[in-house]
Amino acid sequence: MSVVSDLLSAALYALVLSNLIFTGGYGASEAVRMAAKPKQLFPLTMFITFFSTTSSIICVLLDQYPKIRAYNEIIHSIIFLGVIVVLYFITLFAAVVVLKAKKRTVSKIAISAFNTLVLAIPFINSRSAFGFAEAIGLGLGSGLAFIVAVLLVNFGLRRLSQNENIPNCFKGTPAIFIYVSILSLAFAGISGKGLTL
Amino acid sequence: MSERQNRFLKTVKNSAVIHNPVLFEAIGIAPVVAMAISLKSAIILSVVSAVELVIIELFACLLLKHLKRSIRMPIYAILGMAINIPMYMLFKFIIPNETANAGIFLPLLAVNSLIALHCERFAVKHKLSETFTDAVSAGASYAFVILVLGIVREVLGNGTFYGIKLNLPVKLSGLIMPFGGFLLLGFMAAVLKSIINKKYPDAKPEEAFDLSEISQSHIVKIKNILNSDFDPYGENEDEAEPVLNIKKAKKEKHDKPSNTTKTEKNKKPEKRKNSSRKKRASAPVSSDTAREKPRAQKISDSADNYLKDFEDMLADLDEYKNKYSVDDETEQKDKTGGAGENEKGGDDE
Repeated sequence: MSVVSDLLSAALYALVLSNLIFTGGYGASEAVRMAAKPKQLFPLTMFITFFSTTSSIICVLLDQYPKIRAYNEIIHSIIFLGVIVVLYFITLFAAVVVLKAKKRTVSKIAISAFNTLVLAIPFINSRSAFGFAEAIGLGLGSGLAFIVAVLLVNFGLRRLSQNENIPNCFKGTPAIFIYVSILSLAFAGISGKGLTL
Repeated sequence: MSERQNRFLKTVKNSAVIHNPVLFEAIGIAPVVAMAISLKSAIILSVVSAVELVIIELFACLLLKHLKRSIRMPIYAILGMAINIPMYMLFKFIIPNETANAGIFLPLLAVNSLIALHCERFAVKHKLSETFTDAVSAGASYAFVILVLGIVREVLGNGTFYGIKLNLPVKLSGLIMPFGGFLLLGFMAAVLKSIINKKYPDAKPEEAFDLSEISQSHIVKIKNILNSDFDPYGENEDEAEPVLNIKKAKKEKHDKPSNTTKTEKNKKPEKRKNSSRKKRASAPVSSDTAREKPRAQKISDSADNYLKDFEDMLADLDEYKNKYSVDDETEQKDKTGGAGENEKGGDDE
């Protein structure tokens, strides 16, 4: 029972309480750019969820070894990146050779593997001393958080692109940034974080 | 001005101003909004990212052109980490507190989207000199944005400048949080855009962020599914069948003069409306060609059955008419005697 509650609490932490994209800024570029071109949203989010969850599990399991746990942050970052690189090549092989995926889908694998959101998950696990269940929860939650972020930004972009009352110099990216800042403020309010860091 | 100088200026203008990586292309935002909260952290961030960008872009231009994109991407990340580690150690030696405060964002710079995007878009397609110009101008503009953001957030949010207290009467602590970073980025982008509009009226910085595909999103499909009637067992299909017959009847109506009353005419469009709505509701299901054939067969069978029933009904109606018209005639004969026959004959004439 505690395993399930750990998993759910970590997933909720990543998704709602501290939406990693809006309150942490992880993967914000990918979310904003994907919101403008959402045709490949589902393959990308599927790969991001896969990479974040799998790398999170592997890195937590590796951290169980006292030798690895004792290493400093630099070695940890090399290990985490190494895990993601290995996972990337396995996924690429599976997608190209086994599943014979389309070229457009294959091109999304690299973007979803090498971004700040996926690499941040093992670091958060390591810093928060998360266990196996929490690692799964955080990985899944971050994938869901990415979907939520993309959908929220996409809804906003559709409204902004139709609005003709926006001043010319605010049209496009400036309006998008301000809209994202409002969303970020809302999620900061949900998480109940104080204004002083 | 020579052609070479022109090309150089054009590259600088495009990479640094019109296609500013952060303000117009929205790349590499994560470290900017989360880490650029003071001048010291902004210096660390800007130096590390600019150096990484220049070295990796040059490396990609020289050695990675012949590799596949899927192989190049992990190489950028590995190279980023290889450059990151000595820089991290250097800054930890110079400004240890600020480097520690940078937390996980310094190693995360290895997978900065700025590097991957510039390498893929420019470095692997251009010559070394042009790549160097692009890397320096993009790196410098990225660093400039980070430094301005760091200074504004430190002064307004913390009331300090490079750690020195300014004794400002008001502190806007929210600016230190990520939403403050996004907000300032928005205003900075607006300022730069208004400058570009005045100085280079032909340049369109908003085109760097393509919004043309927004209306074709998956969300529209999801909305359509949600708005349609939930009909997992195809119960509405049978109800939707008369649509074909109504269309046939409509054609017949046009061919022959109709005897229908006004009330019937008013009823028909409503019926049509309902049936067309049902047809529309089941549209996403019928799009599948595999399921289309049996369904079409089913509809044609049921249309035949419907016609048979309709013919039977007409036959019954004729019988009924004949029967009652015969009865009426005999009644009239009984009442009027032979006069009735004479009157009828007169009418016919």
